[in-house]
Amino acid sequence: MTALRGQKAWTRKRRRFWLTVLALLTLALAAFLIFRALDEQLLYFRLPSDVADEAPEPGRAFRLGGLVETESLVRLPDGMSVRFSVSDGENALMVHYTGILPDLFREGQGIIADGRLDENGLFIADRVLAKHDETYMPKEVYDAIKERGHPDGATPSGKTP
Amino acid sequence: MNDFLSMGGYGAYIWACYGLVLIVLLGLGIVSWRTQKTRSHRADALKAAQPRRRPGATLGTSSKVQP
Amino acid sequence: MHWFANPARFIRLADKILPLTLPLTVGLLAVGLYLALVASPADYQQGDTVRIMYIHVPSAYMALFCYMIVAAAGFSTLVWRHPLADVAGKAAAPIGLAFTGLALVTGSLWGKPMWGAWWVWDARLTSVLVLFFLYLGYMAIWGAFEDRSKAARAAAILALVGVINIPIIKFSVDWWTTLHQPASLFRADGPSIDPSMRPPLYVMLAAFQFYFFTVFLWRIKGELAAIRLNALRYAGEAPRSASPKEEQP
Repeated sequence: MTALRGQKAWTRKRRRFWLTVLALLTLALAAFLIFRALDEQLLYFRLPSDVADEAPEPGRAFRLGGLVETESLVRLPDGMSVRFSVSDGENALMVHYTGILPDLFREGQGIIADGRLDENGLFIADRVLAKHDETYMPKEVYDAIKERGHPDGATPSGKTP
Repeated sequence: MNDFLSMGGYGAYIWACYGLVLIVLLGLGIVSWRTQKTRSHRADALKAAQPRRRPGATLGTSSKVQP
Repeated sequence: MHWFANPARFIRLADKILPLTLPLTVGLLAVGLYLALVASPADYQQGDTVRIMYIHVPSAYMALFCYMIVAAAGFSTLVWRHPLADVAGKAAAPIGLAFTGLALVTGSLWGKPMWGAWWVWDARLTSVLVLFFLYLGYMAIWGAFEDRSKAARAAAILALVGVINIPIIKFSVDWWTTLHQPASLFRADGPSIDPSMRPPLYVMLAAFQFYFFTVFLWRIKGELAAIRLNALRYAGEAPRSASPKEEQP
């Protein structure tokens, strides 16, 4: 009887409160498990190191992301095509692209390329997107930081994760 | 002035953004303000038009129709 | 009927707050626009397109903020059956929808010149699009039910289920590789935005926040007036149904 009286303290509102909280926690757990299972699919791009570990078969489409290696950009004689190397610091991959590059494209810039590997391991890109980082500053500040000799103080653009 | 409008060549994108934000925010604001104004006016008018009736007062008439 | 006392008090309070928030919204917006478009520098990489950030980031922030209001209101509806709670949720949703739409469109107009694409299906952009449809679904449920309390409960359940999407939006840029850059404002080690570019962003954030409170209060007043109007019509119709020849109001 005393136990029942204690139960009575649990008003309907309190029971609804905890039931709702419980339902939300269950939902969060379910979502967590689903997204863990989907983890691979949710990656928007792969790094050159991922490709080095497990290269997709030639002709299979995927996205490649990384930094355009400095002094790797070559304009091909046809005037439309470029070749550059995309690196993540450990591995690099040569990319061939024909078309218009985005305004932000430059050496040292983070990019994402849609395309596929050919038989020789060259990445043939259909589209190149520029990825910029989360740092914003005026040009004067950037130049000042560079002059003071803190190359890492001003985060180079497109530091890919 | 032209420099300001061209925004380093990105004027179209930037002005489209700002224009859209202002139009949407202004539109939503005006609609929200007008709706609450007309609704509360209408409610006030309806209340004033309705003769003060206690629920019991009309029961006699309606009970004749209802079986 | 006793709860009518509550909304009446709320409306009186709103009428006291609104004369403050409306001029604050307009003033902050004017200052914010000046700072964002005139008195702030161009970015070292993105040039003048950085100015889109000053409305894109506040829009995206408000999109999440409004959803938290809708979800909190939904929680309150389900647990305490507070009548003002579902009014608040219903009032906040269209504002959230507008801000989500603006975040998507301004992002698109920023992405085209900078990334080179209007749209990509990365985790950040996709989860914000899901937020847009959650708002739409929430509003559709409100419209779909005849019975108000049923609509409130169904909408509240959707709002709470959709809350899962909020941390996904926020952390999508950290959990997965995305084209969208990571957070620059709300981050553990402080903003990665140069101090000269912060004032326009902060002022715009404040302006959008006050805009929300102003329109939110208007919409709550509108909802409460609609409820009152319905109750009055119902009270007026019931006795008249006795004489069918009489015209409906």
